[in-house]
Amino acid sequence: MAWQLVRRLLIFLISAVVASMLIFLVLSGLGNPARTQLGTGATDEAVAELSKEMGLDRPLVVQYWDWATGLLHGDFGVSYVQHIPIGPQISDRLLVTTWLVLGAMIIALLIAVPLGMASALRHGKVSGYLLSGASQIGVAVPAFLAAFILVAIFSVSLGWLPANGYTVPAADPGLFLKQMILPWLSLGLVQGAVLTRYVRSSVLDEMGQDYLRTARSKGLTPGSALVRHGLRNAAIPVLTVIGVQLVTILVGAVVVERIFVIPGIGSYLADSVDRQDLLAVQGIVVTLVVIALFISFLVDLAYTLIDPRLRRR
Amino acid sequence: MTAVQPVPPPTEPAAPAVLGPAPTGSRHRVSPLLYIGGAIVGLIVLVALVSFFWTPFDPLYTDVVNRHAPPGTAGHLLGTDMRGRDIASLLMEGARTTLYVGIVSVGIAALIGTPIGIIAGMTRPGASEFIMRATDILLAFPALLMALLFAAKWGGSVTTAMIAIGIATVPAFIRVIRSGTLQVMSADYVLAARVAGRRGTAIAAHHVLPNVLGLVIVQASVGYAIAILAEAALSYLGLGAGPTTPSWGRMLYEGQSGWPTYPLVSLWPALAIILAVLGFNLLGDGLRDRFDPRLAGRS
Amino acid sequence: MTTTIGAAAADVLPEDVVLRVSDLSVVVGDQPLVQHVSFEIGRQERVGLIGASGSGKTLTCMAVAGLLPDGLRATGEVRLADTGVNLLTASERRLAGIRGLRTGMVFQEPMTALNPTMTVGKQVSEVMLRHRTRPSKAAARQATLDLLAAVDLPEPDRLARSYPHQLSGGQRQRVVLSIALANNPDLLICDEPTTALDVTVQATVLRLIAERSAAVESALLFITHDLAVVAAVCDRLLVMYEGRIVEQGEVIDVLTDPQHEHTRQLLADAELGTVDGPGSA
Repeated sequence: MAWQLVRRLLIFLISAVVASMLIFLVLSGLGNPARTQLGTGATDEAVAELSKEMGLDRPLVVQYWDWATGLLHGDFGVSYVQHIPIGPQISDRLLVTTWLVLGAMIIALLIAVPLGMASALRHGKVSGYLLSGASQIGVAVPAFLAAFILVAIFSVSLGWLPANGYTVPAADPGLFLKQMILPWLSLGLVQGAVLTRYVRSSVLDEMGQDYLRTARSKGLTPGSALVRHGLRNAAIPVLTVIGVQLVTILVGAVVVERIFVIPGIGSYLADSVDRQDLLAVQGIVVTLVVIALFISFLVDLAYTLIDPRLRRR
Repeated sequence: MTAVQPVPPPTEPAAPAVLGPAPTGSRHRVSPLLYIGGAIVGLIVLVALVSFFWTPFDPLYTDVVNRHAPPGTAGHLLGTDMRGRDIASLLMEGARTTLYVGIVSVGIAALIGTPIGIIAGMTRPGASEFIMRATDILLAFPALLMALLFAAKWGGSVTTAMIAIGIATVPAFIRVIRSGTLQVMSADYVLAARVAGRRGTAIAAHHVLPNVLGLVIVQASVGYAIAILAEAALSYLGLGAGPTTPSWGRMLYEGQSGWPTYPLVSLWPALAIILAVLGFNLLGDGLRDRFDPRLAGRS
Repeated sequence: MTTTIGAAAADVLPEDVVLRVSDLSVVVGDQPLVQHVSFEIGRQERVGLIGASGSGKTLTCMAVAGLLPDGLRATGEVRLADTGVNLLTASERRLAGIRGLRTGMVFQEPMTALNPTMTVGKQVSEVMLRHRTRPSKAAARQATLDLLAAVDLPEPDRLARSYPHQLSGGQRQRVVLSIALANNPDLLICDEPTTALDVTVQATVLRLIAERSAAVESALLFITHDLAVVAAVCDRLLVMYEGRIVEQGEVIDVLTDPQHEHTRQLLADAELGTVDGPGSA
């Protein structure tokens, strides 16, 4: 089993490197970043000067190597647009976004697991169809729409919760929570709907399995058979989905952070794209992608832990 | 097989059978999802097509007198936006962009992903593994992220959005098609063909492709919904459709400053987006129900 | 749910009867699948239920086990010794208390019968812990090892810690058998238990079914389409055809002197010929 771990780790590392190369290629390799930076009205001399400054006259491989090794030291370079180091910004904002994503994911799971199971158990009955229909609609609502609606109801109409803003939890935990509730709900409700469908489908699949019939023949009721035997098996496909969903939430956070003015990595990305701050975008995207690959690696690992069929001697 | 014989009357004493109410036990009904989803999608297509010939008003016409007008004012069925443009007309033209974005993105993803998926399913394990690892790397770039990446480099527009979303959707296609291909390859008649010496390309064209087509359609439907959501998010961020391209996402972008004082400007396109995504999702689900049993070799 | 018919059967079965099925009928929609089936099984008796596919034998077996799927309507009575209820109308809770304790089941497909993510030992112990037939977890664990050894499984200790995918089909079926007999049930129900096994393994599993059920003094209801199997294991034989019982009697009698057309057809198909009786097809 140790070999499995090493193998997966290697795959993760290689994938991360390849991904970083792709990102670098797109942003710094194609066209002339200096020209993009200065805009179409720039003179050739200005572009040439900036190119020299940015080190663009060096071979591509060297540029990449510089950048990549810098990353490993936590040096993401200094933004040509904002003139401040990118690395610290990423780490600060990443922390903020992590709060957002974790809270949203927890809400999503709290919704999805019971509702998904209930929906599967009530398959074929009216309540089952209603639940299924509700989750279909939930899936179709983009997170930012949910955000709009929630703000309209809870901030503007009822005035219970603030419409935007962010406070560091250490400074004022109460305010932090108040400000995060709507963002959490915006992301979490929608994700919950998506997950509900996966949980339901996974549980439905398990419900038809023979070993559940054996469990019932032992004297277990359908409910307890499902919980004691089915859940662990149903969790397996749901795990992959959660892994993927974490990434989707991360990206969905981009929009939610804009709406609620949360200084997270999502809004940093959106702002950087607006400003055409290519170096920053490079650093942010590579961070997010490596995180996504890492989550994928963790999910694979969790798989082997849960499903004994995947373990080798 | 035993011949059918007339069954002799039972020797056990007959007892009156008491009938109770029959519980609902239908197992495999033809999914109504297909029809509902299809109807919604059909409606949107219809609206988009009609918009080429007629809209209540010219979407760019600004009825300066009637800005932020409530529905019904001066012939504006759904009201007007902050510049006095007719919302209904904007929605109709926006439907075009919505469909257009979906077609191109999904088209790119399907055209690239399907052949790769088939190859991955038919080739030897080493190459197949390599393809899947590469696919996994691409999977780490969700649609919105890819679109932002492209927008940073080439500026935000519907075109960059579509290409980016298309590329980001390729891995989903590869996975699904490969899985379907593996199933087809393990079928008896394919094994027979291979034993008979038929070449790979022939098998791919004659056996794999027709069977996998159903999967492509299902995935296309799902991919469409994702594309719509991604484009909406992009436009909302100001990185998608420009001011002259009618788009539901763009309407959200322009409407956010007026929220929630003037909710309708944002509400109508929001409902349209939700409806479209719902429609494609239902369609995809319904199609999946129809195609799945056949592919799994069950019926 | 279903309704009981007129009180033709008493609530308590006589001493020597383990199972009494009275006028069992199962319909789906308006299509009858099992019609007016009645039979009894005595203590430690071994009864075979045979018929072609679609004859209703599996449904009859499910009705006796209390595992009829939703969507089917069953009328009649199915009574098990010492339970005092009609299994067709009893609540799920009652049925769950009976299954695994008074009845044990072995199904056809061993490869999918066990939970892939749970160790074999745990799955065997579960049935004892569920019905509290052993005073402690440790006692159940020990009993598991004994049970596994009793079905001739090698290295019970190691096997108990293994997962189902590490066992062969024959081994898995033996595990299922030990689960079924763990609580010394009054009735062991087997639905085509050897059909999905290799020919080489079938004989072993059949022998174990016969031996072990006798050892715990359990009666046997054995469903199969294979005449040779039923001849080897059972004392009495019920022949089903299109949802009805068309013939029943001692195995030897039925096989040597079949009365019903269908039975003769089954015999002919099995190419068994007749044994020690007047020659016929």
